[in-house]
Amino acid sequence: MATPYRRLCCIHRLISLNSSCNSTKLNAGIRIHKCQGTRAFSASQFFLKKSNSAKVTNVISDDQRAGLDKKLVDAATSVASSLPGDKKLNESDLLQKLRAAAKLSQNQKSGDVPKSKEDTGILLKSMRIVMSNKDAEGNWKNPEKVKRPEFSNFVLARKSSHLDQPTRKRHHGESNLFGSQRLGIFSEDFKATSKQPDTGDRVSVSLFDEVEKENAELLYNIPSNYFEEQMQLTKEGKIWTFPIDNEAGWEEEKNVKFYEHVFLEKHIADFPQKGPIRHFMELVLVGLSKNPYMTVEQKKEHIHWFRDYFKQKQSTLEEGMGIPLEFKQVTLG
Amino acid sequence: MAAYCRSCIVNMQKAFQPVKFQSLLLHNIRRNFGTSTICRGLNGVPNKNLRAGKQKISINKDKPLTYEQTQPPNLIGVTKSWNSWNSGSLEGEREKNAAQIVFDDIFIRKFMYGTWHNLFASEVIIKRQYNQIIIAGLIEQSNHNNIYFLIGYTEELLSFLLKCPVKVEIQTVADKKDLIFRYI
Amino acid sequence: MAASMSQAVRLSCRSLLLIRSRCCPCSCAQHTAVSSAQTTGDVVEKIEIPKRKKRDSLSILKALSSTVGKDDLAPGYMFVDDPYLIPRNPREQKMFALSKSSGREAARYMISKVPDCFEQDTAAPHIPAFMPPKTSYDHTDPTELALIERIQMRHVKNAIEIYQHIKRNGSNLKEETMLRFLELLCVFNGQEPPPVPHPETVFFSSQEAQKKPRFKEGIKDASKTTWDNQLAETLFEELPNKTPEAYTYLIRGMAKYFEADKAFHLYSELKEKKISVGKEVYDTMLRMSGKYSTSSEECFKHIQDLFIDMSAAKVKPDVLTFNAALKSLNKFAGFLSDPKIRGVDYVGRYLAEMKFLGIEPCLATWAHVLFITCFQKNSDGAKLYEIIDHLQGQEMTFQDPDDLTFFSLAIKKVFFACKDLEIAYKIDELVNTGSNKKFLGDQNQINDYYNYFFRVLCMFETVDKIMEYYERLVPHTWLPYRNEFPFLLDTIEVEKAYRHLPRIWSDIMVNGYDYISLFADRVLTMMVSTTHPPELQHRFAMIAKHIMKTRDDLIEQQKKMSVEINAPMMGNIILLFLRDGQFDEAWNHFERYRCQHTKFAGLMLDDVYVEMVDNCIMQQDVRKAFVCVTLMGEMSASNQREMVEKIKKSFNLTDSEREELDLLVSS
Repeated sequence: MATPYRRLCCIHRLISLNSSCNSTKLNAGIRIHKCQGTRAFSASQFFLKKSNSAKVTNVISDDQRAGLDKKLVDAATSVASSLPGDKKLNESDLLQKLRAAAKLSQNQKSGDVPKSKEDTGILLKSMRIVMSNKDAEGNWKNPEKVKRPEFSNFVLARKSSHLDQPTRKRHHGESNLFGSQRLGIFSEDFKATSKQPDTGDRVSVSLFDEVEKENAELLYNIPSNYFEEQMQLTKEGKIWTFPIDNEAGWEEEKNVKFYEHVFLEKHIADFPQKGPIRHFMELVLVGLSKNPYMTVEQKKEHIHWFRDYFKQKQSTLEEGMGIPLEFKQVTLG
Repeated sequence: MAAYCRSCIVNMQKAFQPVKFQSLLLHNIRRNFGTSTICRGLNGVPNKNLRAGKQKISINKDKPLTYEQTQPPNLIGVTKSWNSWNSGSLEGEREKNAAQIVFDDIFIRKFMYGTWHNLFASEVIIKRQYNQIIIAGLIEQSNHNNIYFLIGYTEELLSFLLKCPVKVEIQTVADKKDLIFRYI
Repeated sequence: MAASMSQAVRLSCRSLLLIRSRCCPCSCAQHTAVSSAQTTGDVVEKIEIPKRKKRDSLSILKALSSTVGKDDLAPGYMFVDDPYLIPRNPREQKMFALSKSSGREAARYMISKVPDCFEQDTAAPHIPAFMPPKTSYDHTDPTELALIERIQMRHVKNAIEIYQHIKRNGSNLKEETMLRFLELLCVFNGQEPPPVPHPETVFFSSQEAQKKPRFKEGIKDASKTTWDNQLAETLFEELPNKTPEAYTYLIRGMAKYFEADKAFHLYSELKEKKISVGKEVYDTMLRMSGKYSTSSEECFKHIQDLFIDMSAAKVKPDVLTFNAALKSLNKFAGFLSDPKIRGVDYVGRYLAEMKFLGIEPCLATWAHVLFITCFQKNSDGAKLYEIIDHLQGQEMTFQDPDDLTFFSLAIKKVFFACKDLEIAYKIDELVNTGSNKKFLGDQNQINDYYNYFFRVLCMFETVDKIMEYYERLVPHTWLPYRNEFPFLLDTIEVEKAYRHLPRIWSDIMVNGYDYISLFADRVLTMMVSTTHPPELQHRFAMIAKHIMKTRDDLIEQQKKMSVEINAPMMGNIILLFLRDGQFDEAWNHFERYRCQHTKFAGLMLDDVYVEMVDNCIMQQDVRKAFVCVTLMGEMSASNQREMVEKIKKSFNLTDSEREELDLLVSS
């Protein structure tokens, strides 16, 4: 009742057993696996079952059998006979593969670097029979028995073999990274003077760079803790900067001296020197000089407004007061 | 007459004891003051007709109250805490900003109750730290995406309105009924 | 009196010195030696006053944030720290983050609709970020100032309009303005700039952020990704003085929008006229050389020529230059890794040049190097080891957008080529150094990285170590995908670490119904394979119950997706109930199977019947045992005879019952 799937299990088992004969560590792995008592399909069981029914044909040459365990050879022959197709061909194929596996494990024992997974994959691929969840009769296979015992072996073997893998022949250090011959295009003059990329040359940042920078920064704008959030808000200008600067936001005012706020007489230099208007304007100036809330520009604007106003009303004022108003042409320095 | 004054003075002295020790007794003392309207309570308010912040008892005793609602205003700072935390009572701040702060708080509360449709299980708590405003509260569990949408929306809109960064920190409660402290 | 006193003091001091010199000659001699030296000035102690550290507003915050570690069991900072609102898987993370940012978007829409309500300025100092966007322009006449204003605000369409107005009026523009206008056109391909996506969108769904906006019927496709900028080209022709800047803008613009031929044409024009341009042009041309070369040799030649031009023009290259060169070689990685061409040697030469020039390669450089040298799947990845050794313990700075591709590329190479756990650990160590985590990129790249890292772990590590990483990463950083769960389940199966199954099943469940249907079979089989301690058994029974329930719910709700349960799975479920001692549940399911066994594909295992009968015997329920055995007969299970014998032995049966049993067995 050996289904194709079971045959495959057997073959995989044979390979692992064969290699395990040479490598003790692999053996240990499989032994552990056995001790834990899974219902894995074991080759010995198979031998017991098949030995009655199999007919061994001695067509295969002795070369192929050389170096292989007798049990394996017998098993191979019995398996080959139950496989479809030419039995002799099957058997020779099997023995060939077994020999290759034995050789491989021998080489690796003596210190070869094992090849990548692809090679072993190729080894197994060539012997793969299509597996399906259904029997040859079309019934569903019992999932319990469709377990993959060979997988457990394979995984354990891989894990344990990883431990005693010979150390890779690596090229150490930077000498090989940077050790090649130079291109020879750039001379000494082009050496970078500082570690950071050179951005100091350009006076203004191009729009291209700005847009790129903005797009790049988007990814990092998600804060991962409270402090980063505060940093982000500070950069955007939404939160006060610490230590608190009471004069924050008054950058322009810092450049303005106090005398420009207080001594404002020069702005009324072109007003008439005597009279009620002058008196009035002096009072205005006193008020403005004591005002801490207006900027110098606003104060000047205030005075200009009065100037315009009086100029407009010049005629009516002259009539009313009886004194001619004269606005001097003084250029304010 | 003198005895009466003396007793008043004694009672007033009792009344002006430190809050922490006497606060629980104050309630009882007030009861004894029931008849003497001249003697004032701690805050200088006539103690007889204090009805602010006290819930009216219902007939069937089925009116649910949260913990906050059960505490009368005289216990603020004792067993009841404020809902608005800011430095508006400091000298300098008081004249300039306290009114604006109160106004903003009223606005924020109206906004929250309106935007978070019937979700708030507790009061809206507003904390001000230097530049930013933190709005906290308990809400009822609703669709996750909705809640996150509302958080983003609230934060952004209120920041633009109040011109300072606003953060919303909420916790969820399965049902508003979980917050009922007593039936009255 | 005072003078005499002072004199006495002086005398006494001197006498003290004399005494001292007599008493300890050596120390005095030393003392005098030093003092004489000080007078001569040979031995002078230099006191170095340390320079004052410049602390800006962010330095304290930076220092504080560097002390904050990452809590693996907590959700990201952007999520609310409430059990109901914590996202349980990456899909929820994405949904919540995007809902939050769409809330912000909605607020901005409201603000732009009614900007007047937001005009008040109560903040002192003034915060421009909280003012509504400017709707009107200061200058509306077609003047130069108007054009400058629109260029500054990056309103491309309006700028074009104004420009055309100005041209119609016939007035001249300053050269600077024309250059800036040209720059604007080149950067945005003559269209409105794309809307700036939110950081959350970029992080969680970068593909969607880059998607073109959907166009409505009747309106032409709004955004063009290829160069289609007639206006810029005509403007360039009309420039009275074709400055290097103009060439730079045009070349960079064409490169950005994939117009290789014209860019190359312009560049050759540049060379003929011997105009000296900045580094950006050379970087751009290097990046483009891959596009208009058809073979790797051609590409090399282009790069060589460009380098020679650069050195002739005395332009200093930097890391971005070499990155551009390597990136254009990426296209030919397949050819280069061919041992005959020995393309990898060229890569080495570039690296050597960089070292000579003192340019430190950044992550992007290494990513390109890795891509080229380890392109073939069976390459041994030796370069990767060297690179990781070189980068060990370094905290990287962001220099190139391609920096983000390094880690996922490296770990993929480990999985496909190296298959070495040590190097995987080293890469992980590098990721966790300082703030290198940000170089993992957006969520897709993070998933990629951890997917492959986990696969390598599962291949080589024991279950306990794997679960350690699992606990750390899941669910807030990463959740395994459908290709990763099989690796994990394999490892558990091999090492029989079934105690982890409930945790893993809950993570499978969280991913949705399709995951449940994928893995239910496997997990059930694993749970059934051996007996477990009672608590674990109970949890397995709960899982089985949940699977059944999910399937029934989906059928009831007539949803399209379904969880398929076949007979073996049904059998496993029944077994789990039996082993947990829930006989009634088991019997319900058994009855269900009996009545509807046509709906369940396949056959139940024999063990199910055996255990069922055993349990019936324990429960002393004869009829149920009979039902069992009858079903065994119908399903042609192999142990029917033995079970019948067992029943006969265990119960006191009447003769009719015995006859019944015999009939069953004989038929």
